[in-house]
Amino acid sequence: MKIFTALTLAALIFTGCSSESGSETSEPRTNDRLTFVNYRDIRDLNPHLYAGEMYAQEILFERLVVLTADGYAPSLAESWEISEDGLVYTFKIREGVTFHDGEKLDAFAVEKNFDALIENKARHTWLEMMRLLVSAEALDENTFQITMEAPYYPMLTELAVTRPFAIMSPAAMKDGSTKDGVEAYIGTGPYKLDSYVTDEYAIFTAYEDYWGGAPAIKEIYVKVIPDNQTRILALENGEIDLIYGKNMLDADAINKYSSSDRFEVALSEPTSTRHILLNTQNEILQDINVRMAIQHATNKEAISQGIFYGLEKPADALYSPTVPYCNVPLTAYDFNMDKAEEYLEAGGWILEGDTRVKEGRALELTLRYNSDSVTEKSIAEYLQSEYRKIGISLSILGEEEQSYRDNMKSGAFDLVFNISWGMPYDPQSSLAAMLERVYGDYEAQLGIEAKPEIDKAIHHILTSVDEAERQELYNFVLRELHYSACYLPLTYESNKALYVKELKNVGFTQSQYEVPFEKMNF
Amino acid sequence: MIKQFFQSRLSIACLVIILLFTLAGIFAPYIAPNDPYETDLMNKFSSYTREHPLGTDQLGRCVLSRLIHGIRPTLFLSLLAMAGTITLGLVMGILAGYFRGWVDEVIMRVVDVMLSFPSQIMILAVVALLGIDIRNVILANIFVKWAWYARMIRTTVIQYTGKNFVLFSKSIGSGSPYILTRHLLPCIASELVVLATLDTGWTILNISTLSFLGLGVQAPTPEWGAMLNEAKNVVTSNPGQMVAPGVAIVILIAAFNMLGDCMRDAMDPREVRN
Repeated sequence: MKIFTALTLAALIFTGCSSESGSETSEPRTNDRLTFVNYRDIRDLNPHLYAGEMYAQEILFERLVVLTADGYAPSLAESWEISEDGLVYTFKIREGVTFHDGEKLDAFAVEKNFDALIENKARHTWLEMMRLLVSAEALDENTFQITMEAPYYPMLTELAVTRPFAIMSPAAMKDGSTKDGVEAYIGTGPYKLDSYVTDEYAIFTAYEDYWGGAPAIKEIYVKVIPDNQTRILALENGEIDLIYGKNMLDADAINKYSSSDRFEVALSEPTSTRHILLNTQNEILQDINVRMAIQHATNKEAISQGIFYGLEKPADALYSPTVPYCNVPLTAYDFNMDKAEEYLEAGGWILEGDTRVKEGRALELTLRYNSDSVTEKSIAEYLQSEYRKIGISLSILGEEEQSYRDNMKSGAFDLVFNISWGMPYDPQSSLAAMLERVYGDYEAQLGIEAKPEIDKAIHHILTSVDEAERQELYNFVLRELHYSACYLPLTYESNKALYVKELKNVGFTQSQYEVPFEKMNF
Repeated sequence: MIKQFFQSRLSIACLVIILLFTLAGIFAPYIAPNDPYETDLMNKFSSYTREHPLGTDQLGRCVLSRLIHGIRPTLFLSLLAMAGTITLGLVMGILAGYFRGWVDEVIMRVVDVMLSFPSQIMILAVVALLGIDIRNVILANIFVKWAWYARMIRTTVIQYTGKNFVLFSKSIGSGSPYILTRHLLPCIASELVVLATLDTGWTILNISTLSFLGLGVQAPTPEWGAMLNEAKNVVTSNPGQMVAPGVAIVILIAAFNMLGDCMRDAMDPREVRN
């Protein structure tokens, strides 16, 4: 009987995930229906808050401008002018745009959106632009004007991010307010939300009156499948057409399918830096010797080759030199176990048995990882075995995404996996976010002596008008952060996609969180 | 009974298997060909070689070495949990069955409450409450399982308390401790062994299940359930990873279950012959 249970368990692992939806696979492929997969529910898609899945917010809502590889491009704003002192932005709102509910988009609707955002200003001040905002008003039906307190060079970049500056139908707001939720998710984007069941699926249908022309794929059916292997099996079985995202595919799967004749693999340019945050407030990690030792004991090349098959290149600094302003000459921490041991000895950590000890305190640290991510656990286990060699006892702890983020924000960590935000947020927005408890950065940096100066320099960067001075400040901040050894860069992460051969034009945009469905077709 | 037991080839085979696993577990550091924690990323998912007889896992660790070292948590923790369960169940069962009256009432009502919960879910709840740690898994196992033993032992004790030799012993003035240890314990021991053997399989599976779910033994300690969990993460690209820990669990649990069956048959000869 119990043997039977064991066998069923094994059988379940292999087949259980795919058995329920056999009927769908037998359906012939219709050329305008795409089945997509995500690891979690769409949740609250309110475009002015931060809870929802960004791929969904991107296809439902639009911003005034978008960021492309060639710079800013018009979206809901057809054109714009910036006053010579850099304080006043005048946008000409595109004509003939309607919301999914049929309402007309005009400057007054945009103004109502900004009113709702300003009402909840404190929540958005991680964007410096929001802090510097003086007024946002409609001059007439087609003209919208934003006035700033000081010139701010990344202003349009911040307007272009997925949230919170997405424009929704004022009719769906709750008395003109969005901070406590919205009535419906109604935007101007190429798709509208048709229906959804929490934790099961969401259906988006094409918006036929979309100003940019109705998209080729008429329906997107998004399944929720939390497990990586189940997703791949579902793709194999023809239940889904596309897996897309940074943490949705492991390198082994990519490697396996790169020569398949049924599936295509696509990789984007490096988007962000996968790194580990060392909490300088921690009693052990406040010792720079320990942080230095960890930097030198990390074999990034082995991680890049061994775990990612070279798909992700090793990273030497918090931001890739290709990120604007980040081509700063920094000395990389080379992989050198002897050097790492020297640092630990210098710090007074003496080897006793397997673990080093200093004044009765064992060198024990915990590395937290996001258990929804497909590769962090492997890296964590690898580092655990590597650090053991120099007497650092690392325990690893996987947590579900939300509690992982909460712990990070509150500083409840020794070491934690983190990512830089990628374009278009890097470096200005992610640096600005270090000024407050946005992610773990703020808490992690509090133990650095130069933290007040770093903060001051970041403030200066954001409002600086002189290009050379700005670069100088960036150099200072990046140098300080690098040599304080509180960021342990691992690899430059890429966006990944795996999809059926029939699907065409799967590409990547500047924003790593966006899935450009409207460009795809079968 | 013992003679009957040793006549069955199956039971001997099972005993040998369990013995082999136990010895391998005890002498793991001497038997295992490699260090189970030694990673070698450049050599991950390697196939069966002389150096790594069962290949390597996702971090290039030797699967065979991990399997052998995994016997320790898998088998020995299960035995520990089993021992704890039996001790608690035995004490409670004998107290209830021998003294009867209000002691019996109190213990048996608690047992009723315990038995009315589905055990797997109770274990999950207890582990969630106490925190994720292997010690808590063992505690939870004992906490949930003892009631079954208490009830069974109580019934047997009541059965024997009415027997003439116990009544006689009582009437010549033997004290309760003497009767309990000298008369009752030997009588229920054989039944207890069978039940315990059958249940060890269940406990192994249970601890492995919890480790599979990430609630039991934590990385990097090798444990069969945890190894299966890691193999699950690469099931599409490297399905072979599941074989070693999966087969090991099946063999060990099958051995325990069949051994238990054989013992039961040996104790109840009538059933064997029809």
